[in-house]
Amino acid sequence: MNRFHIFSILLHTLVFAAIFISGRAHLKPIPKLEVYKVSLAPLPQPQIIQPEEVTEEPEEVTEEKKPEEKAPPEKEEKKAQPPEKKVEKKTEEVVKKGLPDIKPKIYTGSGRGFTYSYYLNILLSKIGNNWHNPFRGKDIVLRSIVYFEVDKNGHIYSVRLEEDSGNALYNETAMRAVVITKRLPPLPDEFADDYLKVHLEFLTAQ
Amino acid sequence: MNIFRIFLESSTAAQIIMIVLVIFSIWSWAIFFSKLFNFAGVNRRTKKFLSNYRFRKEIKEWDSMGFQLGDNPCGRILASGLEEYKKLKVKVSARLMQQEARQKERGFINELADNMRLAMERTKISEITQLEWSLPTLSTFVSVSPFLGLLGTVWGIMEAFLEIRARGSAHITIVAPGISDALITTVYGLLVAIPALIFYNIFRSRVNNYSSEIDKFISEIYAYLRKELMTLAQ
Repeated sequence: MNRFHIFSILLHTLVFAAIFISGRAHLKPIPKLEVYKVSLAPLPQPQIIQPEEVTEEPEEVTEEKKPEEKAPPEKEEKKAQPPEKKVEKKTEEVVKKGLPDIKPKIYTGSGRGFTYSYYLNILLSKIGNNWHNPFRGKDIVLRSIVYFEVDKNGHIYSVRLEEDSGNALYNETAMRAVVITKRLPPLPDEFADDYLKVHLEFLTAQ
Repeated sequence: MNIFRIFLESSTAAQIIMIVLVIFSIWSWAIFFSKLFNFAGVNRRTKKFLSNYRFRKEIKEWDSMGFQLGDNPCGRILASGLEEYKKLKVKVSARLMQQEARQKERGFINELADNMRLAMERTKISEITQLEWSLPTLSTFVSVSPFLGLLGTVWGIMEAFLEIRARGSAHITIVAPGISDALITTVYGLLVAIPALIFYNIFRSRVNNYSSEIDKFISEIYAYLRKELMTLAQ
């Protein structure tokens, strides 16, 4: 070992010391992290109902939104006005908390049927995220329907209130949810029509 | 990133590899400083010698350069050439005494003159060997260090997989320590190999330059000494 080796050892010591000093800030003990395993619940699948069961407008597609949470039995009685099927569905389906409270029914026209449930899931998820229900958790039942159209590129236009809930604030939030969504993914290539007509029902019931 | 913590938390195999790599690093840097010092000295002394040599046109003057003939490669080469010249001069002078051999003298001198070149070539080889000292070691570090790092990496990954098998889970908290051990040895290996490769290339090119300079010098000296020998025959 000659002087150059000693010099090299000194140099390495210096470098390691510099790294050690600069790394002192990182010497804080690493907090023990608890790891939670989470599995995502599947989104509720839209249910497709043939058009003859519902509307006179055969070319329109209607989506209905239902609350995900369980309605108490008294409210189910209140909601006797909608068709029987809806009520049955509501009592049967219990959607977990935290998921978008949308459980659509889709009515297709022109015999072609909009069967792309993944697209409807996205539509409901996006609009559901933008909808801030002012009466959530309150003992009140409101229903409003917003009509809009989606073109091939997924742009939303012709938004209008189709059915008044009787509460201006509620109508406003429903309209706003659709308007601020602005754009959805492009319609599936396999879907032959130029645009999709949607009647989206905003229903609240606790 | 704290390299000490990573070192302490590494497996024994990774620690051994890292220690070996640190030794390599210290050694290669020592070689670098030593060669740098060496080359600087050789360069300085050679320049000084050559500037003196250019001012002296006679063999006697060269012979009187004293210590400068021994402290640098060109000086030593000149000294060996002069030594051989002196031996040849004695032989040629003895030969010239015989009148009958005069006619064949030129061919005889040509044959003997090659001895001067060979003597200088021998000195050159030993000088270059000295200049190349420890370059093979540096070259070994360049090639071995990344492989050692890679060995640590493979070892760490192997341990990570064994851990997965033992615990029956591929969770990140199980895999990550092994992978980080694995990668740190590669980092060490590269940190040793990259500077060593740079040093090696620097010194290799310097040795090549010296070699070509010495070749030029040898041919210059040889031509002069040969001419001097020829004048003896006239």
